[in-house]
Amino acid sequence: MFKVGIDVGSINTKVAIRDTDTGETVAIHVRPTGYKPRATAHAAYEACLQEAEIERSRAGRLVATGYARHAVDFAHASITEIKAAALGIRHWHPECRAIIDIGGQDSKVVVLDESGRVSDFKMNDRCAAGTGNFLAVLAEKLQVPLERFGPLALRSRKPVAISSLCVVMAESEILSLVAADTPVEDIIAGLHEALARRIANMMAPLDVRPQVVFTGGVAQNKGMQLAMESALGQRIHIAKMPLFAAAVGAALS
Amino acid sequence: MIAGVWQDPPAQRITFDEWARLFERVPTDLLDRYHYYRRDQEERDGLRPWSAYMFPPQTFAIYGCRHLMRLKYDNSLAALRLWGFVQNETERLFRARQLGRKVIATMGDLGAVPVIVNSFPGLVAFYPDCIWWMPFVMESNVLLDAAAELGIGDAACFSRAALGAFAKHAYFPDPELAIASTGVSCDDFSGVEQLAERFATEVLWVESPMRRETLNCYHCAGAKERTFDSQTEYDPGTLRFLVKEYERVLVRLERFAGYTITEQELRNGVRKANRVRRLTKLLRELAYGDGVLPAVEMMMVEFGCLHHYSDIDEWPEVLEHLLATAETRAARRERVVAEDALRVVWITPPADPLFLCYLEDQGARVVGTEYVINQSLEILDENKPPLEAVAESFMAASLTGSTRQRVASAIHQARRYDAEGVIVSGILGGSHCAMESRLIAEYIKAELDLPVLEFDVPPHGKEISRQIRTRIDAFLEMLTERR
Repeated sequence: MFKVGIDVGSINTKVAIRDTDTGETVAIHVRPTGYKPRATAHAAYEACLQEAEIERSRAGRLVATGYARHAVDFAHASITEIKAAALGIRHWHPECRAIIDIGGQDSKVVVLDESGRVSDFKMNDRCAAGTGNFLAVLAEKLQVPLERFGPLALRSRKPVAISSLCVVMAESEILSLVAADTPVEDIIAGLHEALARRIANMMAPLDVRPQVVFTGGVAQNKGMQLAMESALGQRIHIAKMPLFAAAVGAALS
Repeated sequence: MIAGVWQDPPAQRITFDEWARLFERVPTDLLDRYHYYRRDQEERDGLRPWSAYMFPPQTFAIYGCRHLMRLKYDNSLAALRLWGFVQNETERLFRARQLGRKVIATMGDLGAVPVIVNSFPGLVAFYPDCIWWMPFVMESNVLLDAAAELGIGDAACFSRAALGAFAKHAYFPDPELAIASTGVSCDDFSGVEQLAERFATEVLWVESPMRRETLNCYHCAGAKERTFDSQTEYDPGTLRFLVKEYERVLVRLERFAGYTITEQELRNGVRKANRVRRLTKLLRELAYGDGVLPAVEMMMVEFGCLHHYSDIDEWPEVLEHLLATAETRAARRERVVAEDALRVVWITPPADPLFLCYLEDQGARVVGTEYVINQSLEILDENKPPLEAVAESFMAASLTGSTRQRVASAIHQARRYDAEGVIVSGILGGSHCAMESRLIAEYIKAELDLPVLEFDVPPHGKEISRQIRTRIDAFLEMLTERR
């Protein structure tokens, strides 16, 4: 028998299928969410089943999570991405006591107790500040593909200080830096540091203990991992399959 | 139950449309029993009173409260009466003027000055800043835009809608006198009061003193007193100052009314206010203890302590009706929320009804509140001189002392009703919210080791944003797992 988790995020919809007999994740699928989350979730689900050659009748319980979880009306249940991420991450990282999840729509820090239950959490506020969207918008401005951000940041020798985390204000700052011929890798490293500071501030009132695991789309960016480690003064572990942690967690619930 | 006329259906939260259908079953004779300013009419005309306030719920939506259509309601006749009475306040205030009463805007102190005003025959107190939290303001930008045009925009909290209401001249009559409290009050609202000055014939400013903590107070040299009801500690010098301020208010009111009030009339005013506050206390115990009334109706009840929705005689009758309903339900073990609902204390200035409904929809219930109106819930000491009793009740005010003192009431309620979590919702732009929310969370965590959820409520919206829903949902998941 199988269990399915669908994480309908603001940017991507992720599906994970678990074999309940072996406990293995046997199939994953990702596609852009777009403007029709229900239709996307359905298409992603069907595609994942097809890729794994699993008949729908054997798919079993389906749990939705993520920003548009309520749109998945064919799910048997829904849970928040906070709980889903906790379940998914803890499954792969049993020592984890805190999760940093930077997604496209929001970022969050989730604190887990010894048994892996959520004991506290913080989410960022209303705008794109502190989210993956912050980097995505500014990548476009700098005309650098987002996937190149990490490697470029690692080459920086002198990251610049970006004081604003508002996307609009940061754009102005970047324009000034570009005009002053600042190397692009220093600007990108500065953006990472600014975002990392924001996350560190969000974590400050929480009782965060090691091990800290970094997940969400932005966790695939090595430069961001280093910036986070520098801002927090502790080692940050990258989640196994960071894009799929919540989908796997939903399938585990 | 009203013998032979009406039997409430089993307790339940129902939608706006369901209420509309239920309303069709309420006999007309029964609807006609309830009137505001009943005594004025009976004394004047000797006729059957005309001032009915029981209307089908759609009526309120027609007047702009379409936000109401998204809420869920208690299905008792008493609750319908409550909503009818609250929603009728605009009409009531204009009618007061027609009846020859003088309408006085009281602002900023949330609960104290109306006790003095309402002691006078022929004076009616109301809060223009009450208008802002009413659901309709969340439907439309009209009042907020009007306030912005007058100088207070998005950077201030949405109590600025009161200024817009003044400017529109449609929500209440232009008051002949406004009594505006300032000093240690909310910064945003002090700005609103200053700009509203142009719309009142006259404004009497009253200084609200800070409640100093006696332990660290140089001036009071360790002397301390406690309020009659909540036992909030205060310095006696602060009380003396406020009594002098209220003496000034009294003199001005006497001149304004052309009437010298007696000590006995003031004592009666205190007793009337206490009747409302005692009924509210009983209702809170039943609702928060036994889950027999929903959080939204209880919010209306609590805010009724501010100025009794401009009818000091009818409001307690509404509360008595609600209390009888609550007692009947408690005796029958009938609840409007599941017995195992998650127990949450809500600390907030905005108290958005949509959020309270959402919380109950998700399987939780409110077991305690701190709506920044502690002072209006405080029972007045009837053995003290009336002005001193009123001033002492204000010593329990939510926002005039330290955060530690403010949060004490929430901690007390959380302990009493075995709360499992605390929600602190602030207002975007609300100056004290930005400073206080995190401190409140720290005090709660330190004292009770309970999870705390903090978020800011946007000024208006047709639905709760996905992000805030996720926070509430995740918080409730967390509380469930802690069980």
